[in-house]
Amino acid sequence: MKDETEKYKDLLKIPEHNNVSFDLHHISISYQGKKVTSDKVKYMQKYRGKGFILDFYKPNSNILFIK
Amino acid sequence: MNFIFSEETDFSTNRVIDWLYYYNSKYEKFIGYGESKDLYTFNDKKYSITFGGKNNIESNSIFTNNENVNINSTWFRRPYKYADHFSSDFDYEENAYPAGKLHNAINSRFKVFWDFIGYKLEEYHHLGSFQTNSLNKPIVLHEAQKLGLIIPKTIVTNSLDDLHSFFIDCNKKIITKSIHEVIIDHRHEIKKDEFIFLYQMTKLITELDDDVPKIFAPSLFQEYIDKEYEIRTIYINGECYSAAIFSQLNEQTEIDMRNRDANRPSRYIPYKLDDSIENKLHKLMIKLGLKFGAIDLIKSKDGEYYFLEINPVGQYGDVSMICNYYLHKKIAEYLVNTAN
Repeated sequence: MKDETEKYKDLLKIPEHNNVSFDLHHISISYQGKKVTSDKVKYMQKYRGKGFILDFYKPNSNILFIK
Repeated sequence: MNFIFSEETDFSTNRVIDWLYYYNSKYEKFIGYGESKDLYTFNDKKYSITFGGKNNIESNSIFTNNENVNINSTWFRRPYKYADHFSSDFDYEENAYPAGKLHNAINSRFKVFWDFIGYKLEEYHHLGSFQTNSLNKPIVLHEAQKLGLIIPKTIVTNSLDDLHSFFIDCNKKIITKSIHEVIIDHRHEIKKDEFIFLYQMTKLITELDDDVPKIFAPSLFQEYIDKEYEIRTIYINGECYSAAIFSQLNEQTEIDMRNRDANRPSRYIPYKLDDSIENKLHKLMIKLGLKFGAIDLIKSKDGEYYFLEINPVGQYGDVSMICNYYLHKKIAEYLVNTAN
């Protein structure tokens, strides 16, 4: 991911406080673009919440059940 | 039956399950609370663990559909201890006990139950640890140093003044990373259906801003090591499987290789660490009580090996696949073959 922290750092901030560690003020921000609504993403999301074993990297994967 | 404690979407777990299928070995995968309708529900099983009395007769039994589950081995891949199925299933009525208090009570009871189940399962053949799914970085660095491994110059401090001295001492090139695990990443909507993604990596610090508070929460800093290449070693039950990763060739992965460049992936090659380093890593893993770990090291331009950290539940799929180590197969064989 392209680090664009400088460009977007004012959009969402970690609060300044003595109990916040130094590293938390150095988290990275990337632009992720618009919501992806492609068929492939919809297909993946369909199974995400259903508790099947997920594996989309392998064609003959061990998805147990497809509605 | 092989028990696997993991997450819903851990691809490495699924690859091992493929091999368990190949070896005709049954498995059951447990995943944590919040991961929706998982493959495991508490109520479809009956647990009885008996112990004590004058004769101290111990028995463990887990039944599914009135069948006794014969425990072969357990892989604590990424154990989650708060599998509370109550909160997501239960609709609160008006006269019910306050939801927050009830949730807290049920969750803490489940944690004790899961800790006990994990403790008992560790009596059987197992890989990974139910108790240790994260390590204390400064303690691990200390222990590594005691065993003769070189670690980068490190400071844990809450003082800007002391950080400033350390910064000067390290030629104004230090890195900051979380003392614990990275903060959970976050997708933030900036316009309708348009997002920025916030995530944590190791960051290089070359100047200390004036607006840094004089006191902050205790934080970890290390000197920046100019690396020739990175080494990722997957430790499985006494064996080290290493890869040299040329992450310094790309600006995007130079400081933290996890910031992968999809269009220009880092080059990996199989790598054999010196025996003396492997022996020290082996002693460190024994000291920490771990049979599995993803270990990060750096080979510096000055020719030294620097130990960075161990992730006891780290990813190993990249090293396995690119270096042809067949680690998923080796893990499955370890689980199936209880004699090893």
